[in-house]
Amino acid sequence: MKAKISAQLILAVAAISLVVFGLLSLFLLRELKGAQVEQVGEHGRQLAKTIRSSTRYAMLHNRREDVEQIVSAIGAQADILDVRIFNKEGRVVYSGNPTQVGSMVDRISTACKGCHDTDSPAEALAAERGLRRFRDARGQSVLGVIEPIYNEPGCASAACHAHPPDQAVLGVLDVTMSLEAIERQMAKSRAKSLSLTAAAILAIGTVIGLFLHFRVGKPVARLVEATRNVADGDLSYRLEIERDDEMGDLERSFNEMTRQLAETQTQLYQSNKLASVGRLAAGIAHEINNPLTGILSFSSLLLRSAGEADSQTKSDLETIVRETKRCREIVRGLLDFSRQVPPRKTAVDVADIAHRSLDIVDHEFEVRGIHVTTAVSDPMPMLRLDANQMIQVLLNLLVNAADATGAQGGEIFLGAKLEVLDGKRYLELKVADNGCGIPPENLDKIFDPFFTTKEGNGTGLGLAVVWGIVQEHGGTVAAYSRPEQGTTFTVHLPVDVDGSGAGDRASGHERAA
Amino acid sequence: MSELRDVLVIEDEAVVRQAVERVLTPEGLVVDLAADADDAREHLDRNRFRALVCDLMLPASSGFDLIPTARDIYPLSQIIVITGYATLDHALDSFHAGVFDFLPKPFDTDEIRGVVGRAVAFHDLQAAGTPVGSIARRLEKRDPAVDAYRLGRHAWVTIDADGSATLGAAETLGPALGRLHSIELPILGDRLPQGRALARLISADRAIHRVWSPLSGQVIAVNDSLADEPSLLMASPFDRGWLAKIVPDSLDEAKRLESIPRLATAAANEPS
Repeated sequence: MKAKISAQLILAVAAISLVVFGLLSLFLLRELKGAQVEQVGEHGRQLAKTIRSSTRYAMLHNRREDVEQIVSAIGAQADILDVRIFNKEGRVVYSGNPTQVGSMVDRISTACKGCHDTDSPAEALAAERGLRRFRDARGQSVLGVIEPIYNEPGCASAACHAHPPDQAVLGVLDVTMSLEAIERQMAKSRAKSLSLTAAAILAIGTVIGLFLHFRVGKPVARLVEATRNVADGDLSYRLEIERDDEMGDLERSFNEMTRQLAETQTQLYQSNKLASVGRLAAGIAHEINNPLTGILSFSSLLLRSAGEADSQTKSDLETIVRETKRCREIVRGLLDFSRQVPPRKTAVDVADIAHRSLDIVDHEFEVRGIHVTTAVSDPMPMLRLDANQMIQVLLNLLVNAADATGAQGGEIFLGAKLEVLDGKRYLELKVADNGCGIPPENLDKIFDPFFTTKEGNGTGLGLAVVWGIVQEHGGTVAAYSRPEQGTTFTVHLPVDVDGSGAGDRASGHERAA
Repeated sequence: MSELRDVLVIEDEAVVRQAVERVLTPEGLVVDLAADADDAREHLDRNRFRALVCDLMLPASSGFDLIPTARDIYPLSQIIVITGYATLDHALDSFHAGVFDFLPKPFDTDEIRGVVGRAVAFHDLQAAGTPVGSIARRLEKRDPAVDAYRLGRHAWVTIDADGSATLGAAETLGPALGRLHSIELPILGDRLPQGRALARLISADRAIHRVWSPLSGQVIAVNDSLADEPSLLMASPFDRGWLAKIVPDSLDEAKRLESIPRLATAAANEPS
């Protein structure tokens, strides 16, 4: 997958680079060539003017040998293919190549085209029209420069031969130069720019490939690996966040997702467990209560008939009766637990709930040297909750906290406040103690029914009941604990603030007299 | 006419049947046993019983199906429901069906002795035509404006003007009870759920009688004078013999109780 994405990206970038670089070099090469040809042309024009100037005197005096010598000397220079002078009829009068002298040039030949492509020949040539490019018979690229030789007063009055004064152009000077050197250089430049483009594409491709591999491919592979782990059921798997970019954000949100998933699963698991315990309890209770009735009745009957004489038997039987009654209490607790009713919500004053709960344990806490600090937000609106069940929750948490503090007394904190999470209102109840704490290995079992560390001193249902009630209210309960430092239970309940307000408050039967 | 016998125990569990029989026989009561509803119907067709002890969960039928049959055959028969699955709904349904009392399993010997003894005595009072008192008349001594309800025969509650509720035992309990030895009351601050024991009355023969709480709430007062003078409960059941005051959790619970004026009318129409 990742290979594909980087390959796709590299391919796309290579194609774009190719087009961009290609067009750019094409454009630059063409410009360069134009400039060079222009330069050669300029050189040719200068040369033609020089020839014209230097032959002027010889021509005026009709010294043909001098003209021929100049023409052939210049024509022999490197890169200069030919220097010719035509007369008006197109006859070659002078040439660097003496064999051509006397031959005629066809008007439609490339050398004449500059002036004679229209019906009447132009008398003055625009600078660029004096230039022409063509391939000669041997196929080499040639630039031709035409310089017209105009009639001058001196020409018409020359002693040797007179040109009629009404004739504007007397002849044409034609210089042809080879462009092969430029062609070769161009070919070299093309090859160079082609290889540069290829190198650039390769470099860009490599950089993109490496970047994708390290900055995208690896993190994606890590995420895929993490996803597999979570899919295989390891909800404790966490990614190490290494970066602070979008990939880091993705990793963070993956961790958050996994955390919430784990939380939801725990809640679901817990509620399933509670539900099955509830069903089990209801089934067992009926079955167990019958034999318990038998044991209780017959041991009581035996106890009565044992009389005063056999004190050992009597004491043994009393133990049986007592322990059977304890069984009865356990089964009753179990049934109470399994029979958790849906909350009956009324408008409730949380501060009042807190005080009523504390009133119940007040005396016992005082005896045990336990000090309670309360912090209930004031003002707190009336909330719709089941008052009875809330007292049960707080009582169980308070008793639990008190048991954790042990014999030497301790501190308990009871807090209540409203919180807004994700736009929803929650009542947060907090009960914290500075007691013995819960070992980490027990922390995920404390809400299980019948889990207890208080040997023979508790049914193990208290926190399960808390869990059940909170669940019925659509809330959550969590425990945070550090051994020997204490435990904090935090309950979050979604709440509606009671809208009916004062009316409900006045008739609130939940309020203590 | 069929013979009037003491007690019929309708219970599918042999050990419970035997236990009840073993407890009641020394009290001088003749105990007949039935293992299922059909068995019970045969007994009911042949004889009348002063008291019935009936399990709610019988093979292939519910004890609730038997109660109307038994009352049709002999209206004075006092029915005691026993169940291993004692829910508030079961208790309330039982009382609505007009049973004498409700006893969750497992019970001890003093409890079954107490409730059956009381049922038999109540039957005898009714059969002899002894008036057990008019509730309405007695209530008139209190504020007639207050709402009053009953849970079963033996527990009453009034909703007082300040929103609290006063709980007590009804006049039907007293005459069958005999002399009281002591009364166990809830502790101040206790949470009292509806349908749970509000008080345990211990009679002179050490039999135990429970009064079920008609409403859930927190106990804010108990009648201390009952400790010194238990007989007050029977002497003035609706006034000075009150048991406890609570702050009720919700008055919705009262909807499942019988309001007293209605019961009083029904009582007036009864043949007794």
